[in-house]
Amino acid sequence: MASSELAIKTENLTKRYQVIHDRPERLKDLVISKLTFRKLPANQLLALDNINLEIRRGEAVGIIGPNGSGKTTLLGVIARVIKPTTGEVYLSGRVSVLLEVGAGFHPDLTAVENIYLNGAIIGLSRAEIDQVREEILDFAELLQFQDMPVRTYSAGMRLRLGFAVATHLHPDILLIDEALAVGDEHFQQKCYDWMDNFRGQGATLGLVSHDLAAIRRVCDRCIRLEDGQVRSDGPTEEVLSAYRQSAAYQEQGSGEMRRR
Amino acid sequence: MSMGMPNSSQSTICWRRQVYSHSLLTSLAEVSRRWELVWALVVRDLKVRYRNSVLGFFWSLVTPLLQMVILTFVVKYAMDVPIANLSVKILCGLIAWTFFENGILDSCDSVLNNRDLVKKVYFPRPALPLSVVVGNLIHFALSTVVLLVWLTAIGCYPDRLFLFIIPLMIIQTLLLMGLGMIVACLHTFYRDIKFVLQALLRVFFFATPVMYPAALLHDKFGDFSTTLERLYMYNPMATIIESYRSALLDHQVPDMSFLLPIAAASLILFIIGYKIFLGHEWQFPEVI
Repeated sequence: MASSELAIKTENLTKRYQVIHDRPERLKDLVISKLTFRKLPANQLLALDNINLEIRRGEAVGIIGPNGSGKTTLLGVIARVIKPTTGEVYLSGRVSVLLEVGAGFHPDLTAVENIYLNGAIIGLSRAEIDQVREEILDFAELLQFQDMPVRTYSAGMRLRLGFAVATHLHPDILLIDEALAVGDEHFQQKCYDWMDNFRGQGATLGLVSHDLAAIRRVCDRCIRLEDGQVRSDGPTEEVLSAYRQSAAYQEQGSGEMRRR
Repeated sequence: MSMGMPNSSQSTICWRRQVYSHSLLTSLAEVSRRWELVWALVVRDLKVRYRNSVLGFFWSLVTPLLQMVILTFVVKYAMDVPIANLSVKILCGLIAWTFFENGILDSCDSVLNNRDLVKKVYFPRPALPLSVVVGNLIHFALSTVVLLVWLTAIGCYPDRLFLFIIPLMIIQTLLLMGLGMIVACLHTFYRDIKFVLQALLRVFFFATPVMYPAALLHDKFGDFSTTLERLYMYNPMATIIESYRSALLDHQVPDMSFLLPIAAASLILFIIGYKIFLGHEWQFPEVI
C-alpha cells in the first residue's frame, strides 16, 4: 500500500449511537438494570455502517446524501471528535475541520481574540498565529472590525471569520461541513479560488454539502452516503446524476436512519 | 496568491492512526505540551467574566471581604466568642474556601459551557476542567496578596514560614482538579449534580473551620475525642485551611500528621478523577 500517497483511509468504520430520549430516563434505566441484572434493550442507531474509504492527497471529495445519512458523523470520526464503535481511521498531516462555522468563537471576545483562541484550540503556538493573523483578517475582510466583539457580527461576517481561521491555520486536510451556505457570491467565489489553490499545493479537501452546484464546482470525486453506507463513489458528474435519480433525492429530507 | 502553505507542517506529515482514547500518561503529556491551550482557556474565561464590568477583578475580592466583616461581627459580638485575630483567621479561611467552592462549581459546568468546542473540534478535553481550576487558582493567589497586606496592616507580619502556602496551594489545586474532573464528568451526564453539590458545599462550609478556628472545638468540647477530631480533620479542606492559618498567622509548621495523608489523598484523587474523566470523555459529544 502506497500510504504516502494517501491522505485519509478508513477501515471498517462503524458507528452506533445509543438513542437517548431523556437523561433521567437513562439514570432510572441504569438503576433498574443494575438491580435486576438485566441488560438494557439496545435501542441503537447505525450512523456509519462499515465504511471503507481511501482518499488520496490532493483530492477534493464531495460527500452527499440525505439528512441523517451519516455525513457529519463521518467527518466527526475522521476529525477525532466522535469515537467510532469499531474500525480505524488513518491519516497524514494536520487536519482542520469546519464542522460548524465559528465553533469555539466566544461571542464576547473580539475577532482578534477569537483568532488566538481558535488557534490555541487547534494546536498552534502564539508565534505561529502571530504570523497569519493579518492574513486571516484580510481574507475575511474584517480588518476594520477586528476589535469588535463577535456577537455584534452578522452571520455573513462570522462565516467569513470562521472560514478564514479554519483555512489559514495551515491544515493539510480540510473538512468542511455545510459551511458556505450563508456567504455572499463574492465571498463564495473567493473561497472556491482558495480551495483550488489549496489543492494545487497538494492538500486534501472534503466537502459535505447539499449544494450540488458547489460540489460540482469544487470536487472531482464524490461519495454518496445513505443509511450510513457508501452507495456510490466516483467522478462527481456520475455520482450526482445517479443521486438525482435515487429515491432518497426524490423525497429529500424524509430520509431517516435505519433503526435497529 | 497570498495564502501559501507553510513549510513547518509539511515536514511533519506522517501516516498515523487516529486514537480516540488516551491513557493517563499520554493525556498528561498532551495537556502539558498544549499548555498554551490551557492558558488560552483561562484567559478567555477571565476576559469574559470581567469584560464590561467597571471594577472587574476587584469583585472577586469584595465578596470575601464583605463576608469577613459580617462573619467577624456574628462570631465576635452576636455569638460572643473571644478569639484573637479573628478577622484575619476568617479571611484566611474564606479565601481558601472560596477557591474550593468556586473551583468545584465552575468545574461542574466546564464541559457543558464548551458544548460547541466539544462537539466540533478535537482538543485534549481535560483542559476544560483543568483550566477552570487554574483560573480560580489565579483568583486565590491574588486574594492571598490582599490577605498578606491585611496581615501586615494589623502588625502580624508573616515570616519565612509563609512560603508554606506554596505546597499548600499545590495540594489544594490537585485536590480541586481531581474533584473537578469527577464532577465535570458526572454533571455532563446528570444535571442534578450541581444542585447536590451546592447543598453539600453549604453543609461543609460549617463543618470546615472557615468562620472559626478548629481550636475552638477543643475549647468547647473538652472531651472532644481523638477519633472525632481525626474524622473532622480528614476533611481535606479542614486540614488545608488550618495549615494555611498555622503557617501564616501562628508562624508554626502545619501539623504533618494530618497534612501528609491529605497531600497523598489529593494526589490519588487527582489520578482517579483524571482517569474517570478519560474513561467517559468520548461520550461527551454524543450526550451534550
